[in-house]
Amino acid sequence: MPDLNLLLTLAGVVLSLMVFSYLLGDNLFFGIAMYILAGVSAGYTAVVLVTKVIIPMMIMPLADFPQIPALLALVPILFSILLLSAMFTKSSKAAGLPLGFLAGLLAALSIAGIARGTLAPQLLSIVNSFDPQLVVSEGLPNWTAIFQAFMMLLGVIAVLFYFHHRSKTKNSLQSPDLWLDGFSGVGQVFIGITFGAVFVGLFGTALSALIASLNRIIDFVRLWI
Amino acid sequence: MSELADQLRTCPNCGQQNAMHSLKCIRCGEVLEDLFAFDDIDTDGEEPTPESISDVLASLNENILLTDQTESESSETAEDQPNGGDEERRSGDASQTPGWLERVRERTREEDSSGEMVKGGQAMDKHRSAGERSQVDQAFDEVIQRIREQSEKERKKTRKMETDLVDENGVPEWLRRIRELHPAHEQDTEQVLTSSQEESFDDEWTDEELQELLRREIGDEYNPGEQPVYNNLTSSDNPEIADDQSEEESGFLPIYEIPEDFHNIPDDDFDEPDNTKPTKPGNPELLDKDEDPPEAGNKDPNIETESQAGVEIQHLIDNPTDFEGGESEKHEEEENKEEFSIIESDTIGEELEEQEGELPVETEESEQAGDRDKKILKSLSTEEEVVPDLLLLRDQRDRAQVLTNIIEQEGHRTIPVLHEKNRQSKLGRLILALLLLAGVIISLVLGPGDNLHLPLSLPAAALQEKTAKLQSGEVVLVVLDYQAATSSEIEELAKPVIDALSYQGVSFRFVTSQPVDLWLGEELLPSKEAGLAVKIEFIPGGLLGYLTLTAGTSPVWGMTPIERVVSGGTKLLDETSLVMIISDSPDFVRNWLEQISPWHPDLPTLAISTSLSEAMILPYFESGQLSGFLAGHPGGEGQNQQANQRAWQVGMLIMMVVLILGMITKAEADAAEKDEGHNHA
Repeated sequence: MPDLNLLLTLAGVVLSLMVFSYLLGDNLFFGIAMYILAGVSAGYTAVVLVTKVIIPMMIMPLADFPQIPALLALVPILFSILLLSAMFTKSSKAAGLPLGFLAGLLAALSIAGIARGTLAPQLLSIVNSFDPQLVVSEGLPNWTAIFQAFMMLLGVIAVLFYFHHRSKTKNSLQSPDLWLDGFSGVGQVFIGITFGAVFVGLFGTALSALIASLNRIIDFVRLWI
Repeated sequence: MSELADQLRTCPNCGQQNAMHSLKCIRCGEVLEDLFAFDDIDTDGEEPTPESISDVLASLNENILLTDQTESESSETAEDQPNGGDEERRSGDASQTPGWLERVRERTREEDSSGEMVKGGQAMDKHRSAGERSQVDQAFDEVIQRIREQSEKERKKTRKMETDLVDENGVPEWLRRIRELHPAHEQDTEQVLTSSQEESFDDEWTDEELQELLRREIGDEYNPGEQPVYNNLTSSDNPEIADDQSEEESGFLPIYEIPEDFHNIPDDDFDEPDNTKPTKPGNPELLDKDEDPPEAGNKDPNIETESQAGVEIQHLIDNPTDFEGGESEKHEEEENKEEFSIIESDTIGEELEEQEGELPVETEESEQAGDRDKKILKSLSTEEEVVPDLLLLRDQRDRAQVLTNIIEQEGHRTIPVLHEKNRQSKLGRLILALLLLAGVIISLVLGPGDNLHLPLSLPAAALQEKTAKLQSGEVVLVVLDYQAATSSEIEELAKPVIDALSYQGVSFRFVTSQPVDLWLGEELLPSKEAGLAVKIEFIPGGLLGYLTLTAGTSPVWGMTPIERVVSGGTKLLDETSLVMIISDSPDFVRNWLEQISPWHPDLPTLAISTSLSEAMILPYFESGQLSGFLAGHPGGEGQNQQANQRAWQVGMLIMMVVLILGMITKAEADAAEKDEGHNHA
């Protein structure tokens, strides 16, 4: 193993132990590790943006100033100046212009994207799950596909009903009906299952990272044994 | 009440200012008979008109306030024997009653022969029976009760308004009063808390403090600049106490001018403008119950009713338990205590309980303050029985002490910080973490177990099938979007897939919009042995940059800035056979499917992500938007070769046990709490 790799591995082991020290509480070593992470990440990101974005996309086009690409390059420069002005003046109206432009653009894209990329395909997926070609297999009912389709439909309706019923009961003082509560409870069950799956995934990701870090430390220790 | 307080009489013997209705001078005990005068009676000897005398005596009969205790005790006998009994009592009390009273009685007897009051009284005596008396008593009690309730409501409203008052600095009225009364407590808190100086600390009721308190209680009516008069805190309805008062007592005791109607109790029913109480000072407050009963009958129902009501009021005065004394006083004290507890115990009491352990000196000081108050009360009066007003003063003193303690705690932290965890929670987390670490380390030290050959999940099988169909020379666009924290999991999943594709002769194009992936992605690049020289391109602008390169078109006048830095420009996906998203964020996968994929619906999209994203991107696989994905540790392709399956299983097992134990513990705690709630209920 080259010396540089050895040093990098040693640094990784030390930093990992410093992060693990958080188990004993928020201490100096954990703080140092966090500051190193934030500082290195910010510095590296700044370097990348300067070399790959600002210089080639903002500065270099200005060389062809009379041409259209150069004029277009003035637009991000103007927006950047407006954003920087917020650091030196109390009024943020000037900085609101590029931020408003960006926020409006993202909002429009999100609405269109959600409608076209999530709502419509997901609804079509639920409808297609009742396709006769799927629920019937070789002339016999495919009970697995049927059960899956009905559970999917039940889950969608129950969860939507749960949110609607929840907001309605909040605004009214009348005692809800029993069946409404029961159907809303079904929606809660689906939501609970979803959150449980997300939690398991989160823990699995963290466990994978833990195993990888411990594995590196053990491998490093084995080098010296 | 203010009119009464303004009316003072000067004693001809000692010059002492006395209340207008006082029978005797409160200093020298001189009978103030010459001071007794009515507003409409000429003191020069002119005979008043019969009507005026009649009205005065009628109002005297209706007065309930100023009947002395002696009269009350003998009232029962007078009622049983309205005629003969009065005669005997007049003769028996002749030696004890003052001269002015005898003159009043004389005038009353003169008035009896022709006055309306006597006629009404006789009519009342004739028609009154035991049943009627009880009905009248009951009706009167109801009226008094209603008046009292109404007065109580108004008093509470007034107190609330006074409590809500704040000055320009936002300091409440009550707090400002306490600060003014106890400036020493605020200025030098340590002096209070220091035990060595505690004895020397003057915490007694000083004259100035009491004067200030009196001035605040009775408002502008109290004028300390006037000649101070010691009043033994007794009203004129209790002349015996005034008789027992000696000159020596008044000499060393603090001298205050206290109106006869002064009390710390908020205005009660007696302050209500009812028909049973004359408000003018000139009215006969000195009604003697020994007045002759009416002799002439009067059939007028109005007069009869008024006279009857007056007698009933007199009956109530004679029997204080029916009206004000006894249980009524207890009830009123309980109400005061309840008000105190409602207003202050919820907030102040809890804080004091919390601070009880921290401020033992202050608690002791409160107890000592109570002892000092007892001494003060003892010195103020030689009577063993403590005047109720003074009890209320002590109650106010205790309140002031409580509020002073609160003022001293201003700026100090009284509740724990929210993020401050208790030691038990920290210890539990430490034990759990050490247990998990120990299990994972031991499994890692023992080495990888046997390959489990877990079956591939449906999305993983779809991904494997899709990648297997790629031919040599086809281009796969690999989009990197993950962080260093998840690189170990991502690389374990993605590296075998890329190696397999490179083995198939597939070409790659790596792009990313995350600066860190420029060097993290180098671990995923196909090995140089395959003869592929691949570099990672940076796409500025994140998802907007991808959208520009996929959905945009090149303008006629040249190239946009982003086309200058990205090779191929807007033809990023045009020559691509498959898109493989390697991301640890389900949001990025979803945004790609929402924003980018619709522009190239025929281009298959695969995803490699962490187990966190598995549940979130599964619906997109079900809908066909994702051709396949690989996520999570188990079921991932190639996991058996690189991942330590045993450590993974141990970690998951420990977490499952902890979760189950946590649920059981929580259920037991909830059940115990529920039982406690039932027990309290």
